[in-house]
Amino acid sequence: MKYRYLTSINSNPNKPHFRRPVVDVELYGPQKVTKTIALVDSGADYCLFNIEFAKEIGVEIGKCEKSRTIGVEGGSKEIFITEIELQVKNLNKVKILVGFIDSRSVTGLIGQIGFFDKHRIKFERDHDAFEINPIK
Amino acid sequence: MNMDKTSTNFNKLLKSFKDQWVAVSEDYGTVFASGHTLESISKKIKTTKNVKMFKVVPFDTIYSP
Repeated sequence: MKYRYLTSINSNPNKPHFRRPVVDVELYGPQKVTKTIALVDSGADYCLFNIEFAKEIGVEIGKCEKSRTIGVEGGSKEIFITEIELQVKNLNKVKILVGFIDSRSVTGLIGQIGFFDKHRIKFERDHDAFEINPIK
Repeated sequence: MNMDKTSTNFNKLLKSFKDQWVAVSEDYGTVFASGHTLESISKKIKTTKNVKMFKVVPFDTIYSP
């Protein structure tokens, strides 16, 4: 399946627009399903979602595995890992380990473990498109 | 090859709702609710069908999460 890059105007008018590989995603929790968006991020080890989604879909943070992640600024931040089902728009649902993080700057990231493992992902920025296909 | 046609009309959100949570239509064109927590906007909307909810992160600047 091919997806278009999401275009955002640069706050600096002298600089080019940003284009990012963002997909619609559904998160299936024990109590609820929530639709959101996530950046396909080959630099992220885990799929990470803002901690507010855990509460929304009924994930009990206290029962999650605690770990830590380090961002580009070098700071370490606690994450809470658990298995949920996740469905990228137009793809099949997958069971996957995701981390929930209390971060002002993260809504959703699709990372390597569990997703890139199971999909072939091709970035074609020159065509303003990227492609995600399940590995058969 | 199929191509997802989701609109990339995201810039209105960046101008008006940066750092807030929003509930929007699939094409980002209609904002159903906004607020400072996901819980607050989730309570405001009547249905979650065809609605996506997310935090408007600073996509108008260099972003390296």
